[in-house]
Amino acid sequence: MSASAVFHPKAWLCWLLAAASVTLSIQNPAVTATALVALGVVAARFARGGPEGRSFSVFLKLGLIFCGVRVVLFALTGHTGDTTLFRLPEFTTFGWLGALTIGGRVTGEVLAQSIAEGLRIVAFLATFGVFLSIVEPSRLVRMLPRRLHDAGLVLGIAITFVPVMLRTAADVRDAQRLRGHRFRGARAIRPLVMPVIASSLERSLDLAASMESRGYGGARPRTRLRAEALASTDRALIAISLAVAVAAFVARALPGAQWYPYPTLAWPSLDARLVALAAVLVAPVVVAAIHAARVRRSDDATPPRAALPEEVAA
Amino acid sequence: MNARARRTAACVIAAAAVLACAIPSSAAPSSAARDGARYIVARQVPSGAFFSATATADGVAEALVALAVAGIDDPSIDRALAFMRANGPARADERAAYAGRIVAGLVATGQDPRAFGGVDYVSKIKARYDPVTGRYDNGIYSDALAMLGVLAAGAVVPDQALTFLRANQCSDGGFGHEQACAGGADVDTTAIVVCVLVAAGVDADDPARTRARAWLAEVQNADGGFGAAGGKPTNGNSTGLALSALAAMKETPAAWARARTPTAALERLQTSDGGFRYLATDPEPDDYATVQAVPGVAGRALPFRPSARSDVRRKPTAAASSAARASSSARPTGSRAVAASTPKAPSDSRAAVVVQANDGATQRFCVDFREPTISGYELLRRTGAPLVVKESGAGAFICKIGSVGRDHPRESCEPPCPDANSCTYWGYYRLDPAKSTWRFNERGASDTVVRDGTVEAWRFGTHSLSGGNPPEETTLEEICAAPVAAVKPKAGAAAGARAPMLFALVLAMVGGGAVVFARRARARETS
Repeated sequence: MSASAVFHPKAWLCWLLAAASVTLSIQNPAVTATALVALGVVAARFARGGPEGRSFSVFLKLGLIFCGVRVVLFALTGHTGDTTLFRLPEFTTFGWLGALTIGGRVTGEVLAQSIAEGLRIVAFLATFGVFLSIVEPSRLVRMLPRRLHDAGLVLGIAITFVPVMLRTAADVRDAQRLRGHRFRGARAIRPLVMPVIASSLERSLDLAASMESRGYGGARPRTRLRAEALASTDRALIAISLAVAVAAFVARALPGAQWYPYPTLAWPSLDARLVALAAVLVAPVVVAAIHAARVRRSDDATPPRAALPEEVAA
Repeated sequence: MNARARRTAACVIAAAAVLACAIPSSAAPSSAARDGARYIVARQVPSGAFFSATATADGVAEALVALAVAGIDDPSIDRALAFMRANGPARADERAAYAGRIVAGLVATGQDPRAFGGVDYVSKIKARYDPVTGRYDNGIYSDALAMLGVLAAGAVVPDQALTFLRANQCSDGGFGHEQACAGGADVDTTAIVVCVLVAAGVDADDPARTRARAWLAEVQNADGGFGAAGGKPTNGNSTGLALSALAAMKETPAAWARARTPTAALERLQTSDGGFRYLATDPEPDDYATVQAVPGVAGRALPFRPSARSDVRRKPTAAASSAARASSSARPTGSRAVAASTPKAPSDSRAAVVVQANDGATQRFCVDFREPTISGYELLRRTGAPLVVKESGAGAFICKIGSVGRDHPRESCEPPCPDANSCTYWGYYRLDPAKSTWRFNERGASDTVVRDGTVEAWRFGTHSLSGGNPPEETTLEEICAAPVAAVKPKAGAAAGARAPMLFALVLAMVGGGAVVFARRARARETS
């Protein structure tokens, strides 16, 4: 039994909602870091094997690249705050370019603020990365109500894009290697990127077309086999996730939730409630562990059944 | 895969990267204000005045407030100050509003309004005060400008002056340009009066403030901006002043959004060279509209008093400026800045204040004042430390000094006091020179008398009548002699960084352990 079968996709969707609302509502870097660690733990526990399971690390790296670009850009163009770290040669653009002052005084406040917000972007992307590495897209699309047929097609393309891209990347890499191309250093990425993006777009379109031809998201109502029911663990996870999402929304008003380093740099406040809220995102791991322990305990309690080969023979 | 799909994919990736950078960061001081300030600086004439050679010193002073708000640190400010030094005294005795504007401009640029070019502009305003009517100048707008100057300098406005303002509030809640609302209420005057009321310490639930605020909300235009009065089109002066009034009342522009926020409506009036137009239909920007729009678009209240930690530092003496830069202890900005170990003038009085927060961080202030006596409350105000005060019939209750304390009226100023340990507030002590010990003051700061040589202290914590929680002993000479450095106990400074470091360490360890456990659990389950 694969690990991802432990929770129903609806439960994972609620958990995704909780994780997204925690990262979006609270602007405290300590809380965001805690949320990131919690996401990493959940990914480590539940990620599927194979290339699709690496969605989390892919999104993480993507987020870090965006964060890096943002930090550099803001540090070069923002000059407010009291803590001067160092000075760079200054250059003011023309008025029609916005009269930005590039270079000049690099302040700690701007750096801290952009790192904190970059971290939020990373965490937000990572929530989707974790979700994609855990849940198979086909199970999700199966749950769509029949009225959303166009949305179902678009959704099919969207959510299959990254996992398909990862599988395509592995294929393309093997193919290039067979042709004698050695992957060494950052320049080696270039022959990989374009074919991967192109063929994964193509594959997603193909997949969506084949899903549509099989009647997924079709205009006419279809019968559906309700094979997946909500177990008690799913209900527990859904309840916890919705509670976290609501709490995150309410917690926006707390003073610790908004960290604003201007005009002088200050450490973010460590509000235990907010940190605990972010830490509760490991709920799937805890619920699964409790359930597994309970199952094991009930297995130990019942007498062992007769061995299988004898039953088959009989 | 054809070239078109390749290009589309590249565009999507690039757009995503740009979007990540475009996610707006929480507001840093706005560039709209800086552009407006640059517009003003670009229009300085050789004599140092702005916009025209026939400008008067009070107009230049008002422009200086805009430059200070935008954080401009430029030699053009020095030239403007030189112009004001030469031309300021010309009409200072005639109109209090003139001197009031000048004082506001001097305070905004860190100058001493009581000794600028040898002239004490604050006393010139006070000399025009009529204690019978409570008026400083003719017309409410001019009167409010005069009071703004008095409050900017950290001086106290007499109650009769506030009574005069209250008596002239129109029936709809606004304030009119002329007395007794002749000509109806207008936004500019109402905004300035609101700034005066807030700066004078009038409570937020005072009917004068609530009615004025309600009137402003009523006359706000559908596009989010403010016109000269109800029903008039949005203009740069009124919207800028109204935004300053909102900032004074601690309201956010977002809460006042109609079709857009007032700030966005004001920014729409800005042209490409940074100036602000008077009306949206004007092709060219207007100089005075720019001057009054800049503080509003920057979200700063009037009077603008730069804190010791702000970007613009143009302190009068080099010694004072280095002391202010090196430490967080502020030389008083309202009264005359005392350079290290200057002997005081014989007619002056000198007193000292020690402010100690609950983590031990201490600030010491040496304050010179001209009056023979002032109240303890006035002394604390003259230190220039940001204060949150609850004023009532019983006097002033100090809620918050700097960043320590309770944010009245959002929080209750009085401590909750369920038990002795949680009853923390700003305790008021005076040094008994004979015994060299601190005595806890039972009377409030509004009722005490400070003379030459008094040393007082404010300490945040729990207190009791029998001595409570006094700060460490010191003397007036000690405080006023040495170049003051803020005393932060070493443990305190390290504790500031220790908690986050500890948290990061704990997070890393717990997180690492949890990831290992999770991996092992997954392996166990899939095997």
